Amino acid sequence: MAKKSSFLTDIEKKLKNFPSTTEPRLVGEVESFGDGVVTVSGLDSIMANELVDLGRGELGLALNLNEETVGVVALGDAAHITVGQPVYGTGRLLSVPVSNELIGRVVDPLGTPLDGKGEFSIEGYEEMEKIAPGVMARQSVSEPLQTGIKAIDAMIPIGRGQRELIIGDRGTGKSAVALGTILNQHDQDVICVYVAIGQKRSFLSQTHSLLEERGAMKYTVMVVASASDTAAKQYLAPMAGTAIAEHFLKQGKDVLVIYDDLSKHAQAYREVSLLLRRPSGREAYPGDVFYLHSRLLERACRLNPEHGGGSITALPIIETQANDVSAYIPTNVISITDGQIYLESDLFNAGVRPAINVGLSVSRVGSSAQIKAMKQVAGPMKLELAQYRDLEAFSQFSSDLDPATKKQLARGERVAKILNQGWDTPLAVQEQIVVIWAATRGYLDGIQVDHIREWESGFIQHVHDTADDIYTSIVKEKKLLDETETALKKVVEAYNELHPEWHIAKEE
Amino acid sequence: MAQHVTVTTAVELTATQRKEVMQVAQAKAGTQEIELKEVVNPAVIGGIRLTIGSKQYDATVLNQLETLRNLA
Amino acid sequence: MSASQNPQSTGTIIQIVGPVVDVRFETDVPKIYDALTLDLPEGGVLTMEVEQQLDDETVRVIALGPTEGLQRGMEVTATGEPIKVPVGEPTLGRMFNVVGEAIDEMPQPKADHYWPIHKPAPSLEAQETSAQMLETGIKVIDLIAPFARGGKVGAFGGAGVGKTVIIQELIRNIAEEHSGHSVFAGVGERTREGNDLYHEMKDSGVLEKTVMLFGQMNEPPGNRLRVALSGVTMAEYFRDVEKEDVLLFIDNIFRFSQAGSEVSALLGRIPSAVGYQPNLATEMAALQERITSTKEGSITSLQAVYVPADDYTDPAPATTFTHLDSTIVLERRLAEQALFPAVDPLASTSKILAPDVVGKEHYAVARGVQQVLQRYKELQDIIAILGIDELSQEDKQVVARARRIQKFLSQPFFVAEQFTSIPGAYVSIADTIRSFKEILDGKHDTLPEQAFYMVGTIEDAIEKAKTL
Repeated sequence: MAKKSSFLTDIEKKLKNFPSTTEPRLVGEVESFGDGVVTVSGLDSIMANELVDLGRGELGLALNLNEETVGVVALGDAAHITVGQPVYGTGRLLSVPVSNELIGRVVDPLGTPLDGKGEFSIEGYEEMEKIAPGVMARQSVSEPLQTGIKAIDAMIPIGRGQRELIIGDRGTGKSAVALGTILNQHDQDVICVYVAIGQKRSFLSQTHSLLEERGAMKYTVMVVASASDTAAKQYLAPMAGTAIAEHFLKQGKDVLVIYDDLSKHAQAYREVSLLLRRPSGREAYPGDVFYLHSRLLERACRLNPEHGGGSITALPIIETQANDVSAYIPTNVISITDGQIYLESDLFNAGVRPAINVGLSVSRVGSSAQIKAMKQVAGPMKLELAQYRDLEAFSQFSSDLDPATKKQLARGERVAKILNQGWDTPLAVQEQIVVIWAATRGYLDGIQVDHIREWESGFIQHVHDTADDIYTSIVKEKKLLDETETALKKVVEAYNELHPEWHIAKEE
Repeated sequence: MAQHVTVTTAVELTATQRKEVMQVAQAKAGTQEIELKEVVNPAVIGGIRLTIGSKQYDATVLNQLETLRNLA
Repeated sequence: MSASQNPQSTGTIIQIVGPVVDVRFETDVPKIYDALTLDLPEGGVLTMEVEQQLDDETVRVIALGPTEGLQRGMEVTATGEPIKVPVGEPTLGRMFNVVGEAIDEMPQPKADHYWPIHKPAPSLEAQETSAQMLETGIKVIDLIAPFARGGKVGAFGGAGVGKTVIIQELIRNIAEEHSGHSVFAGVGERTREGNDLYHEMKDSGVLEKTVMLFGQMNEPPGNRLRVALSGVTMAEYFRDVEKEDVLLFIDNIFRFSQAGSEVSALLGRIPSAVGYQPNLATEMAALQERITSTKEGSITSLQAVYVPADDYTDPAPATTFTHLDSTIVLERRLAEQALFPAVDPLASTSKILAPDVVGKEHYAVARGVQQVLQRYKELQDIIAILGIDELSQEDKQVVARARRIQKFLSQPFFVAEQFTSIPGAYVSIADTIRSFKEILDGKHDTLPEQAFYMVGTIEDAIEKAKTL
């Protein structure tokens, strides 16, 4: 009895303090739950796109605010949910906690750390849905984003603020191109955000280890919604990654965001949409699947100084089926991005790595994103390759070709071979330039094709060892001065002398 | 139209408490017409939870423990 | 601004599903297409447009802005009239959004007139068809699918085949020459392109005679659905009141229909073929029929039309064909061979390619070119299987000329100079006709094929041949 009266006084005290001690929470009651969608009554003043607390640390998203009920999409499994249980508004629109401490971390789309390294101090929240900066806030793209991959930096150059699509069948090396680009940013003052959507956990773990080993995590954030995460989380991942990138953009930084991949993203969105009973269109995708990607990728841009400067460059990845680039989702994304890099299995199998089809690939921003020195050597290379492709078809049929054609074929073969590169060995732009210069000026013509790889790595080092000021000049001047070309001529001739074992035997 | 209000406590309310709850509810809801539903739930341990429409004022001991747990 | 209803009538939001919102009014339910406004808690105003009346107190509206953060119970004000945009001279040199707000970081212009964006199309009697060619300077267009003054042209193509580049080149060639006013509506396309275009027009001086509107692909469907109407309204003012010959550029009209399909299901309509809105055709017609020339003035319009998944039978582009006088059809196959502009000379058409409009010679040369290309197309199979040597002498000549014509149809654009590294070329219709006639007559059979690629006139080809 004594216990009861202390409870009573306790309650009476609380009732007296009630109005001032407690802030009300917005509450609703679960009416039904299935397939990841919770139907809730109550939540009267919930905002559209507000995060909902489903209990046990799980969150949901209030997407359909109907007159009597609210359709909440569970972002996790939420297996604990029962009819009649309360759910609460959080007062927060769909947003991700952001912080400079995110660099080096692996998080899920809600900002929950996945790398076991503990919490990070939250500096604020970035909304995941935003309208991209308008016409007046932008500046045209003119600064290069160096991928370190010769075929791209020379022929399909990407600029900071551009959206360039990486597209191809599975197993053609799309993720490798993206990761290679991240590796090259080690000295580029670019922060990288790698968004993984629907990937296997084993792949993600390998990727994380690789980036750690190579020191890339020093400037990279990984945002992950793996294949075993809910469709809702996979749907959110790209938007979370972009929001995190915007946190850095606001500080005037240049950011690179990779979406690996948006095909899986579209599928996840299709699943969520159908469960919300929104009607479908082409290939059963919801009618606004274009807008899903357009509003996302439009947030990659370059801002003019009056609006803070900085840029977000986007490299979305799309997987095609049987090389069909005319399918719905691929054409949607092609019509959004500023160009595409086509990777083909035929090329991959024939030993062309990276398996980029240079003829079909396009960068709409083009050479305005290249330093002059690269333009100087890339132009002749494009020409050589185009002519080589034209002749290649003939070479298979005719063995008695005239000497001029034979020479053209030999040159073209070497220039094409030069574009092969290990996916994880990025080259600095000045290294790329000296190699391409040598190839297009014919200094490889006398080298056996099988030794070109060795020739290249040796040459890059040789210039470093004996004529490093060539590199410094290119980096400083951003163009090839006449004296630099003269110096290059000397160096390459000297280098070729050093390796007679690679030369083609002279025909008597 | 009467405002639906639910009050949840660990043990049943006394008549006096019921009156006080009504007063608080009327003040918070801004109307005299209150339809009060009483729920007894020992899980809240002590204190009181008042739900007015979609607004929930939670002064239960259970909630205080939860808050403390989250801060740890 | 007068209102037929009490402009202070207010309602409350009762439902929000994406961009579609239901609002309940105690009295004075707004009419279809009326604009409603909501004062946002963080400042600013959200405009919404009534699409349906669900019952005697509820309307279903589309928001022309983001709906994230909106709550049921928020108060909405009825304006009593449709969305209105400023029209006339004060709009020149300015950039607007779908509701007519200035978005070029300069103060809102003081316009004397505001017109509603929903209007009926001109009557049958008011229509005026001109039969006069408008030269573009682009060989393949002027020859095969010439533009008519006051006519409607569509540039059709899938992703990445060059629609926007053609529109930009046409803006450069036509708008810069044109002494009248132009309206450019960016509908659902890239904001980056909008920024580039704005600066180019500023630098070239075209901006001062142009009105620009943008509702790009970063904006919600309501904005993309209505911005084309806002642009057409501004053009109509110049046509009807100032009695001018106006140029109207729309890039890309497909996005208008696409935005319609995005909101259609949420508006409760049953989806039609390929998931499009059941009223696709009538919705498109209501807009397209306003883009026309009348006895008062003319609108010469150029619309880029995106073809989703390269599928020309897709309901949206398929329905658009009927509304146009000339169609420029861009082919991916040609783009892959770097034959830019990738215009298919056998699929592109024009209503004024007739002897009594363009003249006997032009007509004869155009048809002659098409015949040669058609024959080459028919011979492709034989060539693939049996080889060129199996053809008759006559057919071999056709093939040789066809290949030269294909290359000669390509042309370096001014706006693409940074990609091609070749200076742009403007070719007059006289030079175009003469050049092709000479090729058809066999005068240049001996010139190498490559000489015809990416040049202007036949003289340019002859010059290029010397360097090969």
